[in-house]
Amino acid sequence: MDAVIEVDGLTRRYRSTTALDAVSVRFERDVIHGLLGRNGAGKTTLMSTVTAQEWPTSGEVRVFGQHPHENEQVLPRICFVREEQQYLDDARASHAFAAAAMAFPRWDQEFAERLAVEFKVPEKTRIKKMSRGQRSAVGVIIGLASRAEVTFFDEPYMGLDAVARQLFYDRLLADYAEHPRTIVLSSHLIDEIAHLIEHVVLLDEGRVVLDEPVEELRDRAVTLVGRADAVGELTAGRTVLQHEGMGRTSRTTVLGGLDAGERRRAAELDLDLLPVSLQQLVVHLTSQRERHEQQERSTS
Amino acid sequence: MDEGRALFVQIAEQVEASVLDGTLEEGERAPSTNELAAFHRINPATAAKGINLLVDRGILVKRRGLGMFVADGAREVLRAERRRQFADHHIEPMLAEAGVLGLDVETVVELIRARGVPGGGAG
Amino acid sequence: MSAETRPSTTSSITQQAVHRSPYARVPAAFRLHLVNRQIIWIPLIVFGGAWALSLGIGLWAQRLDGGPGPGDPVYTGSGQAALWCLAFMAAYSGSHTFPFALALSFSRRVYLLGTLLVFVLIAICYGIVFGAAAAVEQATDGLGLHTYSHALPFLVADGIWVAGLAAAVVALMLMLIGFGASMLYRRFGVLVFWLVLLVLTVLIVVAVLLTVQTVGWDGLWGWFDRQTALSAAGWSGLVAVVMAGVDYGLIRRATA
Repeated sequence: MDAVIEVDGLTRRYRSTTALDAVSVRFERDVIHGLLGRNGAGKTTLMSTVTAQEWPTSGEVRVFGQHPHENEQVLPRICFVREEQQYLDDARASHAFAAAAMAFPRWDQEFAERLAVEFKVPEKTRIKKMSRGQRSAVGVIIGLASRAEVTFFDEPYMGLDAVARQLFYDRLLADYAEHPRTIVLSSHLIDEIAHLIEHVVLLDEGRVVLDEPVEELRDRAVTLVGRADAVGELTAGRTVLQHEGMGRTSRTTVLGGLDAGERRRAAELDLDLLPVSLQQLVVHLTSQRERHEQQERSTS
Repeated sequence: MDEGRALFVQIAEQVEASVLDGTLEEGERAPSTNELAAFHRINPATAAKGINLLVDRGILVKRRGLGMFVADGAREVLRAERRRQFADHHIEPMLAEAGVLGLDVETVVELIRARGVPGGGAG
Repeated sequence: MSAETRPSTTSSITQQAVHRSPYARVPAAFRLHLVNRQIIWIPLIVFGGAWALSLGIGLWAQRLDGGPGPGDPVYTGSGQAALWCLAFMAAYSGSHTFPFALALSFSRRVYLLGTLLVFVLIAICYGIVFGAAAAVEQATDGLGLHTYSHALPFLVADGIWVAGLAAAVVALMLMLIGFGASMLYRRFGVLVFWLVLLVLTVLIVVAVLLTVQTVGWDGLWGWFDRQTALSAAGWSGLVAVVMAGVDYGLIRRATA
């Protein structure tokens, strides 16, 4: 597999904060990636730096093997519409599309117009006066119709209702199937995109805490439910992500999968093994880190 | 005790079920990766993995330029496979539940007879 | 797409081999500014409005006691109103098209080049309109009201063409300054923006004082007196070139 985006030791500091802390990550060609993390985890900074809207304090970014900054060989092949993108003043959606048509070599105007109808983007309203959802739709349409080889969607669903979000996911999948390209989708609605993405990168406080194919995450954690002593037997010595007890029953989520022997033992003990969803795993991994640091702070 | 099978396995199982119940005839064109991806709203790579699973097992065959087709004899292969797994997948959990409820094997067998299983003339 | 492999990559691979001229998208960046045309029609309105206003003032001044008598020419400076408007519009367009230009993946260089082309085009248009207005004033004795806002003696001394040229170059310079100011603000924020303005003012004052110390006020005024429309155009052009460089230096690291 070849990486279209290579990030090595990328650090980005603002005056008092470190948005990205020695991030090294690769994004493979023609794969849909999920870029996950809490607010302020550094997702937008990473995307801005890769698209040369921002630049690294230290470290290196390469897109298609080249530095993206001021590089017209690379930039027309990238599309990154921000979450709260500023458009031309007083422009209508059609103006924004016309400008995008000139900027992106693979732009599909017919596709953009079809999407505008499907998303019910008003023709006569100026973008500034649109609702949050309509403005998000304009950004989504530019991202899709640009057909850029590397396309970023930064929380594209803001203000979109469930129907419009489903429309976005459907159109994204269908167009990706016909025109495979590298897509990076940043989102908080993890359950909604869990089946769309092939690879997940999880950022937490400017660091990469997870960088794996979604399929392999299944073995990252498991939840055991059953008699407390039985659960305790199998979870002893493991990293506990979450634990709840109710009478003699308990439910414990631990890091790492179970081997065949442990599975057999779980069956003997009549324990239920539940898969941990991506959403749960992300919540566990990010909040676990926070707990860990709180401990560090309290001991130091 | 279902650990929740991987998504691509579930996709493969769905296609298998269609072949078993005759929704997909042998020699018929199977749904393409993109059709599966769009229908189940999943990443095409995941759908492709599921299809590959079936190709590896000889359930589907690829015809260059035409797509995927249900292999001749696929249904029989699947039925034989399912028969082999029948005890594990269905009888074992049933007996486990019976054990919890205090039903002995004889009682369970009688219950099955009483249901008058289709084709039960054989038993 | 074949079912056994992952999504095929042929379509994207054929595209990427194409080598693009680094300036291929300059026309696109140029047109970005003209998607809505307020950078053209707002200055035009100001131009027309200021001219009409100056005619009114001219009429009124001629009736004042001690003012120029009826039939004496009145000169006003209202021709420069559109200049300030252009400078403002340049700053405004800088701050309003730049974030979207980034979303369209323009390199900052391409965006700036497109912007410069727009400014040059507008400056030329302004020069033509200004020259035409001056010609009309000359031909009609200030529209029959003896009021001159464009055909000022200093400007038209070497002909209408020179007046138009000077107007165009000064307009270009002011637009580049306005644009630079907005980029300065974008890149460094409000505090540094005012700080730079303050330092520049101090520097200019110091420069003037030093000049006066060596050549005296008379020397300084004398120098200004010797300037013609043509040399004014030259000096403005020089400042414009410097500002274009400064603008690029600022925009290189400006963010949306």
